[in-house]
Amino acid sequence: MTTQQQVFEYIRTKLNPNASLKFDPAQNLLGDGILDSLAMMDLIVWLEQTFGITIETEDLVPENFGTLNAMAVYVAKACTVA
Amino acid sequence: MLLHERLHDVAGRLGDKVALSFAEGALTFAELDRRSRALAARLRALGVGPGDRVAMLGDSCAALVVALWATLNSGGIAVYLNEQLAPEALAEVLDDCEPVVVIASRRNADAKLSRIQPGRRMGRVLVLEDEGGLFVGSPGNGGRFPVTTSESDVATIVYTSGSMGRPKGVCLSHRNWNTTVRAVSTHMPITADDSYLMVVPLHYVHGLMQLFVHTLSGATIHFAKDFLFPNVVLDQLVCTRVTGFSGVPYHFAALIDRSTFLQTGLPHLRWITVTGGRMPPERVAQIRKAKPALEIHIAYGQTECAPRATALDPRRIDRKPDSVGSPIPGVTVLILDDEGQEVPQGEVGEVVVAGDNVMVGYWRQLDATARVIDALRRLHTGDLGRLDEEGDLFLAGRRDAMIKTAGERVFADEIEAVLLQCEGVVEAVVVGVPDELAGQRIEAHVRVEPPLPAGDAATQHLADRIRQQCLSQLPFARAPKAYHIWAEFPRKPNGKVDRQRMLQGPGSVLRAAVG
Repeated sequence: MTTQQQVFEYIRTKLNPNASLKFDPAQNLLGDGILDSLAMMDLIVWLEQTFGITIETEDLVPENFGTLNAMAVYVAKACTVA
Repeated sequence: MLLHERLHDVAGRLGDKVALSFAEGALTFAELDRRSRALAARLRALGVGPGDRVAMLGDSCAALVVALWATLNSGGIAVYLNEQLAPEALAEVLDDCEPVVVIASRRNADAKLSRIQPGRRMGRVLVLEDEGGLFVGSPGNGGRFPVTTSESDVATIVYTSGSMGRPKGVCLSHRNWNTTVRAVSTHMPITADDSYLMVVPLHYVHGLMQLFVHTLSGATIHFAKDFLFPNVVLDQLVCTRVTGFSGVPYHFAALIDRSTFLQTGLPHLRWITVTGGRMPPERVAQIRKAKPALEIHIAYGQTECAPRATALDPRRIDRKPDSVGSPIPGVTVLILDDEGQEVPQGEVGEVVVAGDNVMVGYWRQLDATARVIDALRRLHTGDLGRLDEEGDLFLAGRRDAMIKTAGERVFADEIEAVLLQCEGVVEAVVVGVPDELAGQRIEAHVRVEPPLPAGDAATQHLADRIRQQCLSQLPFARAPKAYHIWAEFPRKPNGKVDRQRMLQGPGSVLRAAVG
């Protein structure tokens, strides 16, 4: 499973089971009310635990977490550093 | 004086000053007042009259703030709806308040309203994006209508979580709001020199309160788009140079842990207000150390008292970081025992609030109203607390099974009702467990029949299914975060569920905890 699919599965099963949510790595997850602030914080903690990374506060910006692709790029980079 | 008359007054004095500022643009007080009266004319034409409800559904935006003031101008009652509600839950709220008009964003109209079955009481739907001309018309007769509203009439209904499942609409009158606005703007104080960053949605009573307080004080409100990224919110605190900011403890925990809030200089920020739950004293101490000049106001109240009852004088915060302070001007707080008698000072009893901020009642729920408002029009909050010798209030838990999570109040039985609809679940108990970020975390314990075959896979599968059902019916914040599956609950000799043993661990009965 790719990182994108892993994150999508987590969002679909644990954060927002909305049936209309389709796997689209480039879709903007922020604008359409897919994740609220608590769900986003839950996702951040899950990413840290699942991939064994620490997300620095300055990295916590829409550019890094707005889409599944952006998250996968960020996770890959953070794993390399770790 | 009515709220919209006060806005008209402020607009007369501060017409060119910015009242509302969004990423998309700003609105002056004069323009806010003019557009409100123009839309009021439109609402009147659509049949909105005194006492009729107008519901709003969407992200905070200029149009939905104009809609609030327009509704008041037309003599109607404004209702902000929670975007996070699933269509069925939304339909229940609409059935309850029977709006004549619903003003919604295109996204909400498509994803939510269009999925509500015909026959529910939705009224006429105006889609913001389709209504370019909504606010540009002339106010006609000056937007002044034969006003039959008086200060005691209801201005807003705020839907709040109630026990027993049914949505509860808290009716707050012009007088209720005037009382809070006067008290808060005096004791903070808030003036036309102030500005405020709003991160709370308007369907929360706290957001609505800050809107009334700041606009009617002539202050400018900057709206943050959301609270997804604490650093983005911090940037807005820096860029907008606001003098005030408020939130629930969760907002501050996120800012402290996930942004450079403590390290960033915020010379313009004069005060913050923390409300909607207990902020751990260690968090208060962190902020005090990093920003010694910043006033920290700890406030307490309920939607039912519009919503402020007490606030802690910032000068006392180092001495009493655990207190929620003393009653705001015009409000009295009493501590009563089960017989309704005042307890001796220092003893714990139920917190009871009296004053013109106490709600008119729950919308069309006389029995529920009578359970919390007594013959002397005092609000029995259900919170337990004690007053110290200086009159400062310390909270000490709840009389009932209410859970406070990330500023949301959640009654166990409404979540249990959702769990009981899940196939196989025959009994459900919902509890709040301590959580560093959210204050309390909601966890579900369910007893299932037939008992599951031994094996983690079956239990996991069932827990996943129950989680999906909860998430499809409840906003994320209100859905349980952990599911415990039991073959049999631990019980007391009288057969009642033994919550203590349930929380302590598996004991002798089969239990599977699924995160």
